[in-house]
Amino acid sequence: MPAGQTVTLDLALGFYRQGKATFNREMSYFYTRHFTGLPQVLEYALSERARYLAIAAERDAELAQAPLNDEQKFLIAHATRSYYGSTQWLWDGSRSVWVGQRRGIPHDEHVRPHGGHAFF
Amino acid sequence: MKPENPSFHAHHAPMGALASFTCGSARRCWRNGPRVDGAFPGAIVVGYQTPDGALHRLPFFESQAKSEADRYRGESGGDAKADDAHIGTVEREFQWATDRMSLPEMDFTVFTPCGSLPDPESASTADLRFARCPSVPAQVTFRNTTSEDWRGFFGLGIEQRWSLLGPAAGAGLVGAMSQDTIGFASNTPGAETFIDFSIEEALAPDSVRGIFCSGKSPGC
Repeated sequence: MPAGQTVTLDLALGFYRQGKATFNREMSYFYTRHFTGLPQVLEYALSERARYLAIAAERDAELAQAPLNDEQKFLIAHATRSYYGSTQWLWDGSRSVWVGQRRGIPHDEHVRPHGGHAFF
Repeated sequence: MKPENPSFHAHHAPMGALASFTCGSARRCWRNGPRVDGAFPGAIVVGYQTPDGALHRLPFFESQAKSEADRYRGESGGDAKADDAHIGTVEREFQWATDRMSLPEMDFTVFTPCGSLPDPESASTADLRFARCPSVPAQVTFRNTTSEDWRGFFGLGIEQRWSLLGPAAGAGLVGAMSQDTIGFASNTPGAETFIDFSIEEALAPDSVRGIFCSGKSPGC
C-alpha cells in the first residue's frame, strides 16, 4: 500500500460440497446444479459483488429504521446470521428442499419443503 | 449499532449452504466450513505490515509457539518470523447485514446479503443462481496515512493443505482453495497469493517461498 493512500482489498469467501449432503434421504446441495465447483463460485461472487453489497445495505437500513432498541436489533442481527449458517438448500432429484439444522437432532425431523421454514 | 463489547463470534453465512465464516472473538480461533460438524478451527489474520517487519493485525488468532516448518529444519535453526506490533483498540459496528471490525488504520468488513428467496418452482435460472451462491463477501480497507509503504494482508490458518485457484477461476483472480471445498479469492489489482507454513513465516522479510503448497496458511 503506497504511503498516504487508502486501499480496499475485495474478497469472496466460498464453500462447495459436491455429491450427497445428507445422511439418510439422499440429497445434494442445490447450488451444485448451477456451479461446477468452488472456482466458479468465487468468480461469480466477485462478478456480482455490487448486487450483493446493495442487498446488504438495504437490510442494514431496514433494521436501522425499525422501532427497536439496540439490544433488540443486536439479537435480530445475530439470530439471522446463525439461522442462515444452519440451513441447507438441497435438491432431492426432483425438487428443492429447505432444511433447518439443529445439532443432535436427526436431519429428517427438520426437512421441510421449500418455503415451509422461511425466516422472512 | 456498536456493541459495548466488540469481542464476540458471529456467523457470516450464505443462505442454505450449511457453512459459515465465523469470527470476531478476540484471541479465539475462527471456524469456517461446509458442515456444522466438520468446521475447521484455525486463525484468521487480517492486518498490515510496516517496513520494520512488524505485523499489525486484528486479534483473531492464538499465537503458535511452534511451526510445522520446524519438522523440516532439524538442528539448523529456524527462519525469521514477523513479530506482532501493539495495535489500537478494536471497534465493531454490527448491523443486520454488515459486520465491521476496525482498527484506527483499517476496517475488516464481512457482509451477509440476506433477503427473500426466489420460488424455485417459478424463478429464473439467473435468480436462483444469484440466491444460492455459497459465498460470503468481505473486504479489508487500509488507511495508510504515514509516509511509509505498507503491505496489507488477509490470510487463513487452518489444518488443511491449500492450492492456487488455477485457470478455472478466470483471469484476474487470485486466491487459494482447499480440495475444492473452502477458499477465497480477490480481483483487486495488485493482490498476490501466498501459501506458507504460517502467516508469520510468509511475511518474514526474507521469505522466499511465496507459494508453498504444503503449507497450511494461505493469504493475499
